[in-house]
Amino acid sequence: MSRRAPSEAGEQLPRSEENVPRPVNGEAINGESKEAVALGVGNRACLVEQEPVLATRPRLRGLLPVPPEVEADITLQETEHPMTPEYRNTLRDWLTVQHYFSDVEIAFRRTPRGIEVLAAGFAEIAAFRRTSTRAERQGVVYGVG
Amino acid sequence: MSRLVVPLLGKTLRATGDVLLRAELDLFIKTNAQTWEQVVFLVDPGSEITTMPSAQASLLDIPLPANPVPGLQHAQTGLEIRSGVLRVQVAGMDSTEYLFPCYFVGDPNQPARPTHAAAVPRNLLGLTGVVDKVRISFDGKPAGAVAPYGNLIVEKQ
Repeated sequence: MSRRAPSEAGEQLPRSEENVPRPVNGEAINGESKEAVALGVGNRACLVEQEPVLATRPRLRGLLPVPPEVEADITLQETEHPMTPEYRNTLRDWLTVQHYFSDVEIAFRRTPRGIEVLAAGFAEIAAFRRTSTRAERQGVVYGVG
Repeated sequence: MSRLVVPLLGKTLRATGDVLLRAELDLFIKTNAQTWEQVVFLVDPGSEITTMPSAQASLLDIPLPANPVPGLQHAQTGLEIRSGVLRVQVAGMDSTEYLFPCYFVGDPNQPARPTHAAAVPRNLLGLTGVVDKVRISFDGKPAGAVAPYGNLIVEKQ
């Protein structure tokens, strides 16, 4: 559980445990062992499927087209698990974003017709935020494909 | 609403035919300008603590500590860590604000560019300082066509 009070926002954890012996974890640097934190890696757990290599990948912005692979996956899943239109659309949007923007940061909107990508990659998102007003960014979601 | 039910999403892994499940949650994060930014987090009970790339936090004007914690690094990437908090609302729930401890990973001024995906720091909603404020549970029992693989359930404690 967190030991920090709300007022400690932005502060770093106290280092009162410096003198307590602890197991060596990781490589020693300058004579001191580095402490490492084991964090989950979510779906990055090294499951990478080989994809067909495209000669040129289109620069997709705006409303994303649903790739045939996504439609095929949804159809396959539907044979075992019936889906409401709402669930189907949510699944379609997520799989489409994953298909085009795997591991890429994107700024997007969820629309009834699908995902509208406004910017992709840190530099482009930074430019988007510099050149848009707060009102124009209403409803924008930030995520990773 | 102090209870949120989010259907789990499935993706077929072509190599095996398995359907792999994922749970995502949108959080509204308060910025330095007291505005809110909507950010997608992967709900990850395997994470000890919530993480966010420092560069993304900086980009979205989310408060983060100036200096990294000495002697602490992200195990998967070796990147530096800033220990701070996120002030959030859970999208789809009531307007309660929560303070979630968060480790900001990497250099705020330079997005990490690791050579493979496992080393990319991500927005992960971990356990510490979260599950004492919101109860997070996974119910994998299919709930009809609305949630074929079951639900992620988030409740105010």
